[in-house]
Parts: sequence; structure tokens; C-alpha cells
Amino acid sequence: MILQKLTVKNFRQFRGEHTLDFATTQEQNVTLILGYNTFGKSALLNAVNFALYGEVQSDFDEADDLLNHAAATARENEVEVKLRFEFQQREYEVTRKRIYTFLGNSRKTVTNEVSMAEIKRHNGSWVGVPHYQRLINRAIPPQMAPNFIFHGEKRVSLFASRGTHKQVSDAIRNILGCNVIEAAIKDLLVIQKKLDRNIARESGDEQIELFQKSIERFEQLIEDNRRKIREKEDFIEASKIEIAQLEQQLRDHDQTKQLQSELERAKAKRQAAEAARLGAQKEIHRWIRESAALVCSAALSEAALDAIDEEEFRGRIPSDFQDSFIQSLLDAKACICARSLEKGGEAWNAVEALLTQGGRKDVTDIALKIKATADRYSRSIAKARSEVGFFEDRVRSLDREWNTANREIEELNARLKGTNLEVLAEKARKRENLESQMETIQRQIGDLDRKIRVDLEPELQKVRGEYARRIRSKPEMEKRRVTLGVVEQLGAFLVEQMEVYERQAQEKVLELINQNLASMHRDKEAFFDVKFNLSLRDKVTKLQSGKSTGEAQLLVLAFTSALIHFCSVREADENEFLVPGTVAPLVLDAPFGQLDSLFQAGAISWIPRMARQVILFVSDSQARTLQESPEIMDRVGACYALQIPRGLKMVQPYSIRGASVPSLNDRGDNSTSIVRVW
Amino acid sequence: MARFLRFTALPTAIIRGAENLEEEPMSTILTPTELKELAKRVVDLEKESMYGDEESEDQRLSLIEKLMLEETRRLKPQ
Repeated sequence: MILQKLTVKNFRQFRGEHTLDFATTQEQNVTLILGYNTFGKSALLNAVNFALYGEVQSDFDEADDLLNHAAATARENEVEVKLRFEFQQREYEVTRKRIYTFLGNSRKTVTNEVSMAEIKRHNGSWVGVPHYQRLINRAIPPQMAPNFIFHGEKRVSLFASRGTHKQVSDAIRNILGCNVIEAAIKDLLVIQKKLDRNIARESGDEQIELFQKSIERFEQLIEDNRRKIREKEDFIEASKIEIAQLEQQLRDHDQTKQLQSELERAKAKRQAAEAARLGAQKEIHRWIRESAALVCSAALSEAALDAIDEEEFRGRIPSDFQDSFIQSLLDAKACICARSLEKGGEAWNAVEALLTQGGRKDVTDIALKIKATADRYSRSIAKARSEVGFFEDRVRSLDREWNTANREIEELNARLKGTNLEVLAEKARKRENLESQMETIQRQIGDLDRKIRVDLEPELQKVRGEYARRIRSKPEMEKRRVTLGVVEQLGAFLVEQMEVYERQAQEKVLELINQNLASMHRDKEAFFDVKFNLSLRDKVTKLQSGKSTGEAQLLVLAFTSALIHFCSVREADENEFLVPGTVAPLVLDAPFGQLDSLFQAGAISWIPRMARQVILFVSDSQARTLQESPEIMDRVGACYALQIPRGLKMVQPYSIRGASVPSLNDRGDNSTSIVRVW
Repeated sequence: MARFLRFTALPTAIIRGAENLEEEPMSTILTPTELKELAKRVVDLEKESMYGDEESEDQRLSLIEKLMLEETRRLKPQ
């Protein structure tokens, strides 16, 4: 089956009609649907389920209330889902409607309508398909559907505990199509009981009737005890899952503690940055205070020099030029009038006197002092500037440190929000209670099991032996006895067949799981323990090891991938006792929410290969992770965004494969809309 | 067998039938070929009921029972 198009109308978060065209080619088999949590991803997944089977999945919240609230307020009472798909080279469209009748302000009654048509390719005409459910069930048998259409994180929580045997064996049996054999066995049991009663009644022998009643009573007792065992095992199973969840929450609590200490460290870092910044600023202020005098003095010195230069002494104050001019004049040993200037000579002394007088020695001395002062101030200012530059740099760097610490604090605060230590302590107590209850119940199971094996079963065998002997002594009951024998032999045969198929399937699925895991987990491999739990163990030592949440999710993905693969290779299976496999699309919400980053890349690269067609619902954060993986992005043939009403949630704009994701709408009716990104 | 039975919710009668296959002569009435053929016919009825048109449980049970009786009639008296 290939899904082509989904149209929803007034379905949960979606007001009015919205359509998705899925990617259908082999090369680009992935449709990506991006959306923030609680804004319609699971609703769309369930719309697919609703279109196929007329019901949403059991874990979908408020499953009875499918009508969009804004539509209901406007008195629109019809929910409609259309799914167009291809199956065995033919094109079909199934339409399901749920019509609500309003009684006052509540919607009380519901009517369901369904129709399906085949779309003839040669002329586009539509022809009704009467046995639509039969066709859909052949395309994806309903018991197999939860392996193709599911919420990744919810499925992980089902498998999260160590006791996964129920989920694993159910999933394998469902994908194997054992349900017809199971149904046959159950029917044979009913018939067998009926025949037993008929024989007893028709024999006219009170003893036989008593034996028969006794057998029924023993069987009933054994069955009651087995039922009690199953209930207790279910309780243990559920407790294990609950304990696993509690442990996860408590691990989160440990993380909370770590977050708290990280928060304290970040706060200390911010405080230190703040103090250091204050110190550096003080240095700058000190510089300003102290250097203000220097700056003023330097300015005054320069002004004084300018003043001297400006006034009557212009050109007379000493300068490098004048000094060198005089020196070179004297060194030339000749005056401009061509007289000889010998040092110490009369002319030399006369010129020197004239020049000294012209230079105004007193002014020169003052100017020289001012110049020296100005030079000193300039040097001090330069030094001070370099110092302040250092402090300015320090302030800038401390500003950055402060901002980093502050961001860290904000993030940690956000993560810590909602953590209630009291609640966590309660969870720890609950875990202890559950563990102690489980021990008690395990003992009770042992007692019940002993009772069955030691007391009831031997008694039953004894009575049955007597009963059989008595019946055999009555030739007129021969025919009845043979029929009963046929029924029993047939039932036993089917039970054995199922065991063989299941064991073969288990081996094949395990092989596929380990093929999937090999590329990602070098040290560990999957295995089924004696109770049929799916676990991880060391490849070399074969010792079982615990699973992190990330490993549990990895294992579930590997298992699901193996099931889908196994199902597809069984498409042409002609086994007369099993329902054939199918090539079905994988419709997956929140595929790797809890997956360790260590495994994410590998799992992401798997997903496009998990099925012929993959429809992925991912949150904005997962989308950011996805877009770093060319293995998946190159396979995306269609990408949609679920737009949420503006103002309902703070959203960070982001883009995927270079295209900006339009996350907000302005509908004003608080409903989600769908827009194609590419 | 035991491992499989632990994980099924089947009542005891068929289990007993399976366990007593070798002990009770009445449980080895059909040859393997006959058994397989009959099992196939029962499973077909189940498939038809499960994936076919709506059919009541009573109808299905009486069809299976009829099959069993036919099989008994076909068998030679022991």
C-alpha cells in the first residue's frame, strides 16, 4: 500500500479542509511533517488510522472528541477524513465521516459514515468498492497496523521495562499473521466443550455425566488459576513498566540535582564576572579621575607653547629646526656675509651673541621647561591609555563571561522549572512499594502454579482417564468419541504449528534486529531470553547488560524495523495457516525523541530504508537534528509545516534544507493549518 | 510447547489435548495429511470470517462443527 493523499476536515486541531500529498517515489520516499508539540502531529497520524479502520488508536487522548472545537462552536458538526492510496496497482479513496448531533452545548450522539471508491486510471471515473474493509484489511491487516502506524516514544515506553515479552510476542504473532490460527484454536475449544457435554448427556450414564462435570470443574479451576496468574503477571508487567518510568523520572531527578549544582556554579561564575567587571570599571574610573589632571595639564602645556609660539616670540623659541640651523651655521664656519667663523674667534662670538639674543634665552628656558613638562604629561597619558585599554578589554571580556553565565542560568532555570522535589520523593516511595508488591505477587504466582501442577492437573488427568475408559466401554458413543478426538487432535496440531512458526519468526526477526544494530552498537547484540524478553548483551561475554533509555529506544527501532522488513518479505508467503505479510507505509510520530545523540545519526539513516514509504512527524528540535543527515534529507520528497496560531507559543524561526519554515498562522480561530515547505 | 503455552491465554483443554497426543488413542485419529487438510479448511473459515464479509460467531462455529462431523463420517469405524 502506498499512501497518496490525506485530507482532513474539522479533525481535531484542523478547522476546515487541509490536504497533504505524500512522497511516493522509491528514490524520495519520505514525507516530513514538522510541527510543535500539541499542535496536530498525532492528530494527523490518527487521521490515517481513522481513515483505514474507522477508529483512532487507543493511546490517542480524548478519542471520542474528534470534532474541531472552533467548528463545533460554529455549529459545524461533521468530521471528515479522506485517504487516497494505491494497492496492487489500483488507486482507491476511502472517506470516513463522523457526524455529531448537538444536544445543548454538548455533543452527545455520533453517526459514522464510510465509503470507498476505486479511481479508474484510464478515464478517471470512480467506482464504488462494496467490501472496502476487506480490501483495507488485506492491504494492512488491522492487527499488524500498530507496527506501521505508531508514536515512537509511546512505543518505547511500552518496551521500556525489562519485561518486554508480551509486547514482543504479540508484535511477532501479529506481524506473522497468527491470529487466524489463534481464532481457530479458540473455536475448537468451544466445540470440544460442547461435544463433551453432548456425549455425557447422550450416554445416559450418570457416572459419565459426573465425570464430565468433574472434568469441567477441574478445567474451570485450572483456568481460573491460570487467569489469576496471567492477571498477576500482567500486574508485574505493568509494574515493571511503571518502575522503569519512575526510575527514568528519578534519573531525571538526579539530573535535576546535577542541573541545580550546574546552576549554582553558573551563578557563581556570573557573580565572579560581575565582581571582576566592577573592579575593572573602578580602574577605569580611577584612570578617569587621575588622568583628568594629566590631560588638563598636558592641554595647558600645549596651550602655553602655542601661546608662546603665537605671540611676539614666534619663530624664536627653540625648536629642532632652529637649533640645527644655528648649529649648522656655526658648523659651516662661514657667515652668510662670507666672513670666516672660527670658534672662539671674534666673528664667531659676535654671531653667537646675536643669535642668543635673538633666541631670547629666558623665553627659551621657559619654553624648554614647558615642553619638557608637556612631554612628560604625554608619556604619562600614553601609559595611562594603555592601562585603561587593558581594563576596557577586561570589561568587555567579563561582559561576555557574564552573558554566557546568564544564558546558562536561564537555560538551566527553564529545565528545572516544574521539578517538584516532593513529588519525586513520592515517586521514590512508590517505586519501593511496587517492588515489594511485585515480590509478594511473584510468590503468589509460584503458589498458584504449584497448585495447578501438584493438585489440579493430576486430579484432572485421573478423572479424564476414568471418563475415557467409561466412554470407550460404550460402543454406541463411538461416533461422538471420534468427533471429539478429531477436534482435540486438530487443536493440538494447530498449537504445535503456531509454536513452530513463532520460533522461526523469532529467529528471523532476531537476525534482522542484529543486522540493524551491527552498524551502531559494536559491543552489544540483541537476544531473546528464556521468557522471550528482548534484551541486550555483550557480544563477547554474552552477559546481559542493562539498557539506557536511549538504548531501549534504539532496540525498539531496530525491532520495529526488523518486523516491517519481515512483514514485507512475507508478502508472497503462501502458508495456508498464516495471513500473508504486506508492504505497508511506515507512519511514525516522534521517531527518536529519547534516542542518545550517539545513536541518533545511525537511526536517522535507517528510517528511510525501514519501509517502502515513510511518513515522519517531527518536532522543530528533531527537524534541526534531521537536517544534518543527508541520508534522510536526500530522500524527502515532500515537507509540510503545521502552522500554529500566532501568539499561542513563543517560536524560534528556523529553516530546513535552506527553506524557511513558516510556523505561525493568523487564522484567529486557534486552529492549526498546514503549509507545504517544499 | 511449554514455552509457547506460557504466553498464550488458551484454556487448558486444548493444551491437554496437545500433551496427551501420544497417550490417548482418540487424539491420533487423523493421518498427518488428513490433519493438515482439515486444519487448512478450518483456518480458511476463520480467514473468511476475519477478513471477509460480516459473519456471526455462531455461524462460524456451526460451520466448523459441521466440518468435524463430516470428517468423522468420512473416517472408517475403528
